[in-house]
Amino acid sequence: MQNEKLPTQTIETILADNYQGDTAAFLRDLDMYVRTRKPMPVHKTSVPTGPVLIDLKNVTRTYKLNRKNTVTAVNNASLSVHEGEIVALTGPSGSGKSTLMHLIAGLDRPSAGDVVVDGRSIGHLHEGALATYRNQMVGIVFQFFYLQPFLKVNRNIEVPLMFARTKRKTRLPAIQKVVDAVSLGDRAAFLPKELSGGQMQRVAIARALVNKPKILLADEPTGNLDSKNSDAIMSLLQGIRETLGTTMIIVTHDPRVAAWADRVIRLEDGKVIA
Amino acid sequence: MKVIDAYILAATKRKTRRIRTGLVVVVSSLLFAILFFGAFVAKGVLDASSQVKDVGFNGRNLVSISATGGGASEDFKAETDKIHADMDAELRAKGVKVTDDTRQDASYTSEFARRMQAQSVQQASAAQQQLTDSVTHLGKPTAMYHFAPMSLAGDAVYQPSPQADPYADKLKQEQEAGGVAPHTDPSDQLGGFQFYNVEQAMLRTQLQPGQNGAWKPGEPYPLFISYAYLEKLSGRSFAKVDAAAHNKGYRDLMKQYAGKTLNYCYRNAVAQQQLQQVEIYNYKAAHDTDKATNPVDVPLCGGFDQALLKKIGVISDPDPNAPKPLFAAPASPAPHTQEIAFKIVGYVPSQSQYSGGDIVSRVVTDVNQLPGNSEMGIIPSEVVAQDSVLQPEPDSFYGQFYALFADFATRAEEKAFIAQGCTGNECGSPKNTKPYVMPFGSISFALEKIFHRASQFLFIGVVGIMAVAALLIMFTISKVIADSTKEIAVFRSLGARRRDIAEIYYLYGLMLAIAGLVLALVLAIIGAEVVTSMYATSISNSFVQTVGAYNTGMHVHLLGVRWLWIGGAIAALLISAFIGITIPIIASLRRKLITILREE
Ligand SMILES: Nc1ncnc2c1ncn2[C@@H]1O[C@H](COP(=O)(O)OP(=O)(O)OP(=O)(O)O)[C@@H](O)[C@H]1O
Ligand SMILES: [Mg+2]
Repeated sequence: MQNEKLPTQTIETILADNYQGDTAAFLRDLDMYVRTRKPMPVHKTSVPTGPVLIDLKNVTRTYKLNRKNTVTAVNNASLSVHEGEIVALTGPSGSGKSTLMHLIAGLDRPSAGDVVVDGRSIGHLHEGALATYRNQMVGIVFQFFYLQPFLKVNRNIEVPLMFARTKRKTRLPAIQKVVDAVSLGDRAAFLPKELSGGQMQRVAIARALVNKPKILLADEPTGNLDSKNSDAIMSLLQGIRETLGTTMIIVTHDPRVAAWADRVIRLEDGKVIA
Repeated sequence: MKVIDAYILAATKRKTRRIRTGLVVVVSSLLFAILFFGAFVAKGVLDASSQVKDVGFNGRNLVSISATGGGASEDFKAETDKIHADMDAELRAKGVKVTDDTRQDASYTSEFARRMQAQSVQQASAAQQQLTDSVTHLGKPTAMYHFAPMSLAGDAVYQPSPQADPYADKLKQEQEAGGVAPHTDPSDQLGGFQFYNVEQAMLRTQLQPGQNGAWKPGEPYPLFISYAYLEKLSGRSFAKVDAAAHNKGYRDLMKQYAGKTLNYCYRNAVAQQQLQQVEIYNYKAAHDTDKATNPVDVPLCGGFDQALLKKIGVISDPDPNAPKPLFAAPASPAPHTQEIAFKIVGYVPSQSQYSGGDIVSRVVTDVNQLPGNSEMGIIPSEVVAQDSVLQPEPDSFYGQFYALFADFATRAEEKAFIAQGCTGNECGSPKNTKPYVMPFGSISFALEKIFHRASQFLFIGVVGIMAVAALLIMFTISKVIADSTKEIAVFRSLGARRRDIAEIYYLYGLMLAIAGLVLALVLAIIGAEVVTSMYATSISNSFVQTVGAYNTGMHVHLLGVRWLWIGGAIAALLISAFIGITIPIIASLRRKLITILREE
């Protein structure tokens, strides 16, 4: 169906722009493309120009395994993300992607260094302020959605508004807006078990966005979805960034997903290498 | 967060583990329902009893006092040995050689029995004196009453019909049936009438309007009869009617029979024995073919021609040639038969002769120690003292009071007096010198006392039930919340503060607790209503029988609210729910959010 949109770039450009010279990844995708006849993702939009929103300064996170052994999940990582930017966090399994995301989400605190978001040092906030930060500043999308099984879609989306003590009157338009953004208007009264995986992920995204956070954090948001749904989710996120200007950090293994990002940051053994 | 939002989130918990949670709520609410039910019914009976608090004895401050231990012979063998030794010594003094066979002699054994009886009577009267003395140490009742049986028992036969021979009917029946053995013990057919006496003042609340207990020689004796005897006289039974009709029936009968004269035939023991002998003779004479023997006329209420009785062999002169007995029997008095009349002046509540005891009367058995059988009547002891016919025979147990009552001016004095009596096991102890004191005729007093005692016994049971129910609720709630650890972490990642989490789960626990409570109350109320519909009539009837017919309507509803019990149960429920919620919430809030989220 999308055949007319087939890429016209040369392989060199694709390899350089979308795969940062990673020939193996390119060949894997090409192989899949040949077999599935799916379009190659080429969706670069504008390069971000906003100010720095997220600033990681020499962040280290170590976990104590027992008395003697520790694991360094994130090792002296520094990086900056600009407002409105979509950044993909990639890297092999165990490289510290999730840990880094959790630090930015305020779900975890760094062992050393500083996570500064919007000028505030997240690692040093007390519990109450951290809860407000998670509620207002970031929206988190988990791989397994974590929806409330007995709440209808619109109620699930309402949960962050509840914790924000938002007035009843202003809730409805807020929910309507995100439900429309993820095109789930016709599923508002459904229970999660009555939805497909892609729809559930869209509910999770809508819930993450309902408090109009500046930052959307997603850990493997497409990990459970097929490539068609993955593309749909990513194009949705890109559309949201365009309308709402939300900064996004997306943890992924999948080069197809990474290809949607403005910038790909690669981690290896807890270190930022690109 | 807003309460409504906390409710929305808490309400969804209801849908997880629905069956297990539901089951536990049902089981624990059943346990609480038992508690509530007990409280409702107990208070319902108390409330009902307070509606008749000014009826008859129930409006008085009376106690009954009985001796505990003592009195009875401490060493029975030593006593009998002493009597034997005395008798043997008397015989030796008369020059009789005492051998082992001597004690088999008929006159010896009857003399022995007479002396034993005399001794028991003496002991009984000593014990009663002791009891009276002990009471004067305990407090100052405004009056003391002595309740005693009388010697007319079995001797006076009411004669409602002109039928002279009380055996005639029986005889005819048996002849028609082909004849059976003659009556060798006719006293069971004679029945007779149990009389008791007690001071007039004791009975003052039982007098019918317009009647009094005064008496002059030649007048009918004033008589208080039992409700059961009233039923028998009238041939009525209220066993099958509802409580209101029952109560009204008694009131109508009481009015109708007040002032009525009842005629009895009094026979002393000798006359009574002669009548029985004649009955047996007549029975045989009617059965045999011997033309020479003919039944003897039995007069309506009169003696027999002694010469005739001798002729037919019913009585005989002592044989002048018979050997002299070892111990001479006391001379028997002449036969005496006389018509006597009673006037009904009042009534004493008693069990109906037609219905058995229901739960309440069983509970308040202690309340009325007045004999409740259908042959019962009470003559004021002041009247008994003035009349020779009613006097007890010498050395008889009759005339010894067997119940002592004390009257008090106020309920407080009565309570203080009761507190001086022995309680529980103390009463049975050989060292105990305190009498056993019970409120008399006061149902609510007795019920209060019984409930107080019962609740002491039940305390452990109640605490046990509460503990089981509370633990059940605690464990379910804490299990459900422990299962929600992940959910709590997700809520927190969406911006929930600790307080929000606490609100959601406390609300959830409260919902479970309230559901359990409502269910428990509904079950208990249904139970109380069912029991009311089953027992209200019989309980109301038992009030009529133990307290007396009352002038006001009585409403028995076994749904009295005991706020202390209900409050205690609610507190137990809420505390256990609180603990059951707090522990897992604290446990899950103490864990690192990220560790929980990483678990899959
Ligand atoms: N709570 C913890 N305790 C001990 N070690 C931990 C803990 N959390 C993470 N680690 C370790 O930190 C390292 C980084 O883990 P992280 O989940 O960030 O990797 P990841 O890049 O997200 O991997 P994946 O792609 O497989 O999800 C791993 O070696 C992991 O074992
Ligand atoms: Mg990960």
